[in-house]
Amino acid sequence: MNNLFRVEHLQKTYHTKHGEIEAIRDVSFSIFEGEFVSIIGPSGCGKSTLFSILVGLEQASKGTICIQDGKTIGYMLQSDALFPWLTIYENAILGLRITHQLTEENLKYVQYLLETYGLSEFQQKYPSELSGGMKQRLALIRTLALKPDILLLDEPFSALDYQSRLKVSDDVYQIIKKEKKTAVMITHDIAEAISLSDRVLVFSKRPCILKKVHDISLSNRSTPIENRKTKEFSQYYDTLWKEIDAHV
Amino acid sequence: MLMSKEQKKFLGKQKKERFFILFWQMMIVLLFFFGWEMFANHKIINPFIFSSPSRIFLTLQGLFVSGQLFTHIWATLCETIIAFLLGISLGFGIALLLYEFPLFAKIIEPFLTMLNSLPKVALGPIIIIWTGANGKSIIVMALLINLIISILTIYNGFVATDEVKIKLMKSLHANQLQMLWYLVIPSAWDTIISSLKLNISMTFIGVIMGEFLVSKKGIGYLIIYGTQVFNLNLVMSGIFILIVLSFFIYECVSFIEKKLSHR
Ligand SMILES: Nc1ncnc2c1ncn2[C@@H]1O[C@H](COP(=O)(O)OP(=O)(O)OP(=O)(O)O)[C@@H](O)[C@H]1O
Ligand SMILES: [Mg+2]
Repeated sequence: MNNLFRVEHLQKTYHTKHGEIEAIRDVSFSIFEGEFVSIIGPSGCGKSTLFSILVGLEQASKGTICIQDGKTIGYMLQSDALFPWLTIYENAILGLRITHQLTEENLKYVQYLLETYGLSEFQQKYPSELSGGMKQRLALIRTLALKPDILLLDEPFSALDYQSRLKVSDDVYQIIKKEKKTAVMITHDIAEAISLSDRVLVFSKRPCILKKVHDISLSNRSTPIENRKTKEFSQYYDTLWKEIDAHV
Repeated sequence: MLMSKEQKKFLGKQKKERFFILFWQMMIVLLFFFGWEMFANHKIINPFIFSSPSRIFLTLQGLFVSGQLFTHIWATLCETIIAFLLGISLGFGIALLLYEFPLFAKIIEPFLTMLNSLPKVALGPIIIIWTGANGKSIIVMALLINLIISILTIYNGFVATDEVKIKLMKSLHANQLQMLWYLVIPSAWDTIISSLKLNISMTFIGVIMGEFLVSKKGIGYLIIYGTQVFNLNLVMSGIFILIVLSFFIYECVSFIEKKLSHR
């Protein structure tokens, strides 16, 4: 398989006036093309920090990140961060506008995304008129509009109630597969991680190290909701749950 | 549109209440002027120092006929508008600078707070000496009062920009100008707009105070002149014009605010 990017011996220490916080001690992993990878780990262990470093919002203290030439990263933040003063459409093309890529082709693509994922009739409305799941989809479309090769999703469903969470995670999974993207997702939800991913990375509590990597192989893999019904699912669940429990 | 009986009843009740409130507001005004007039006419209060509605009316009429009325109103209005526009644009500009240079903001913050709590009238006499007794010193006086509070309000609006949205913009590699134009200013917009109302009241206070101190025209001058020659009819007329004028200006700003605020 094609190695899209590689993180090697990554280390991050924050300096604040209250002292040093060693967020990430030593993390190394690779992501391959077309994969869906989940990261789970206790709260505050440095998962979001890892993403911030990957997109260049933060500087790593040590270690290297190699991204395959010409590949781009799209980042979906922990909250949808929609601009309430912009219409749905304006929100969707924000990334294109900022990066000066408002070409006809790209706008058509946004239009296609809005239509395909059920937001086109809301284009002239404002985010406050959308449901939680729709906001999440819009945030994803805003990210996809830039046609990134790799998607980083930081707890994309955490703002949703359980019912819509299942539904929206199914939706988003379909979207990502359909657009043939590679995705790395942070989540607190073990079941979600297993049902969506090809691989699960387990992080320890702070200072963060990569505890373990699980390859998820389910018999007759289909949609995330269906995946939850397979017999391997509960085994993985038990293993992961014990692992996380032991390290909290 | 079809309406249920209950909805009609509800609306009817609301209308009645509005009418009731308006009725009593009118009554209070009428009773106030009527009582004032009666007391003054029957010498229960001294009309020489308390004036009376009819005397005020005659004074206003006199001012109107001689053309002075509009000269004075116009003077005050011009000063207010100039000081208001200056205050808002300077306030916006300086707040932007403070936001863009956080280190600079930290350095001058205590000085701003100090200036903000200083009773600005105390500086009046110095301003007259520095700028001369003319229209300029009135503008300066008004700016002194409206500027600091504008800066602080707008700056706080900028600083309150959502951290997550800033992160989003940074992850899109937005430059500083895009950051301001697409995020910081729109997100502080409602704060900026609501600072207009605060600003106009402050400006008005400043202008009248300035006119008290130096001017040869304007409503403030009318009032101060009236006191000096002990013409209380003139003083009361001035105050009356002031009430009407400030109400008018306030309504104008409210209107602008409605037009400019988001949706
Ligand atoms: N800008 C910063 N300055 C100082 N410390 C920080 C900063 N950002 C994060 N930290 C600290 O680094 C640690 C990791 O934070 P991070 O946000 O990456 O955690 P997380 O794993 O994403 O947690 P959660 O699951 O709750 O989102 C935390 O202890 C946090 O307090
Ligand atoms: Mg996080």
